[in-house]
Amino acid sequence: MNHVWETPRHLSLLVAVLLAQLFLLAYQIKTDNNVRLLRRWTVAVISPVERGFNSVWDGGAFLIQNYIALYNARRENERLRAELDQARLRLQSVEARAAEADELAALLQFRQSYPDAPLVAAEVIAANPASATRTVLIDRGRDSGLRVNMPVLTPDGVVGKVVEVFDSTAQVLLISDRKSGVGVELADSEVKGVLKGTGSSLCRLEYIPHEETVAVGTQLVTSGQDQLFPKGLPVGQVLSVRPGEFFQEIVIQPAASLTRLEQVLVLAGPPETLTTAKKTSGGEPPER
Amino acid sequence: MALKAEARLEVYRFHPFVLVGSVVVAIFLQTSLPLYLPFIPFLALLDLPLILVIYFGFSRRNPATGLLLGLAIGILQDALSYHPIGLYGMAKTLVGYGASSLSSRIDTEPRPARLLLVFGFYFIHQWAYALIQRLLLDQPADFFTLPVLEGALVNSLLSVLVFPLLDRFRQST
Repeated sequence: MNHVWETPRHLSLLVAVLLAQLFLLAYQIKTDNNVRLLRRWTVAVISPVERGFNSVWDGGAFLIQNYIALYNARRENERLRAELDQARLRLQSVEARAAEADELAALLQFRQSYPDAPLVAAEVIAANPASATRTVLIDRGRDSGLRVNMPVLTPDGVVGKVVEVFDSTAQVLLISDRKSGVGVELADSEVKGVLKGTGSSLCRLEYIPHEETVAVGTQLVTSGQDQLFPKGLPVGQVLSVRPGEFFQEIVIQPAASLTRLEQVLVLAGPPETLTTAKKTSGGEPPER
Repeated sequence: MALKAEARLEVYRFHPFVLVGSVVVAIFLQTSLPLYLPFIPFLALLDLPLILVIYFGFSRRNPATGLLLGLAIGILQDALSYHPIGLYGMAKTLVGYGASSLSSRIDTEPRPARLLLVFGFYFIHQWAYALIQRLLLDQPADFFTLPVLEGALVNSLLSVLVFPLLDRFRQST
């Protein structure tokens, strides 16, 4: 009689018998590739294990290699980054020097255009301390012969005038300051006006009657009527024109880059000295 | 309840000659009748070895004996056939195990029960065979077709005749 506890034994026997026949079948059956099914099964069973082991092995090796490579790459990366930072610094330095050299070359060229003019080269050492004013501090002062109201220029155009002179430094009021006023004229029509600062990077041309035709892009030069700036120095160009209450409202873009001043020239003499020098040398203000 | 039923179920044994002889006769008839009596179409549906497996499974009521007998008869049948050895072996091993396991729990002596059980086991046998054929040989095999149903009917009806005949040779333990 069959007992309950015998059932697992019978099941085991059933499984064993079935498996035995399964292997018997597998041994006999050949696949299309003339491979015995048993072999195919064996391969099918073993292959995933081998593949898995191989994957684990390869994965481990890959991880280790990657770790080492990553570690080396990280060190290399840090080294390259440091080198890159240094290179960038060097490049910035070189670019700054190149710009400075260009500026100095332009100044030199400008200076050579007026060989007899008493031009003093100065370096801007400080910007305006207050946002309400547009001034810069230059590294030349009384020691270099600078006086109040001396024009300050760059090869690009008029910068401003000296308003305070110290022993070795001087303060320059830029033409963009609200207190600044420069006698100017339109280069094409010689219509005269006054360039006033606005407190921003732009200036305003005042006292131009409505009947005068002013085109956008028209160049503006000093008129010399203010007795400070020599006649004919570039000041800027017309940016926009619109009718005002009594005069036209004309916005001027200064020719000199007032926000990025580095090197300037101070005309350490009367305005006519520059004009005279220009006439004697026959040179023209260089264009940058 | 089950234990009570088990207690009433009688286990039979057979003389080895009866066992071997019946199997040999069944195999012989299985291979001869369709050949010599081709005009009787249902003979092609006969599976006398299967009927023997089921019968001995019912009588012995021992799963181990049933499955081993199924194994032996199936392998023998396979050996005489062209297909790989083990196809019928596996199918009949399952049937032998199932028949003997079932008979240890229910009474398989009544004729209607035998009829129904053979009918059911025929399907199990055919499904196991078809499954193995599909999985191992990658050959098409139907799980349920009209011939399978006819075979189930023919063999179950035949069992009604064969089982009483074999009952004559069994001995109570």
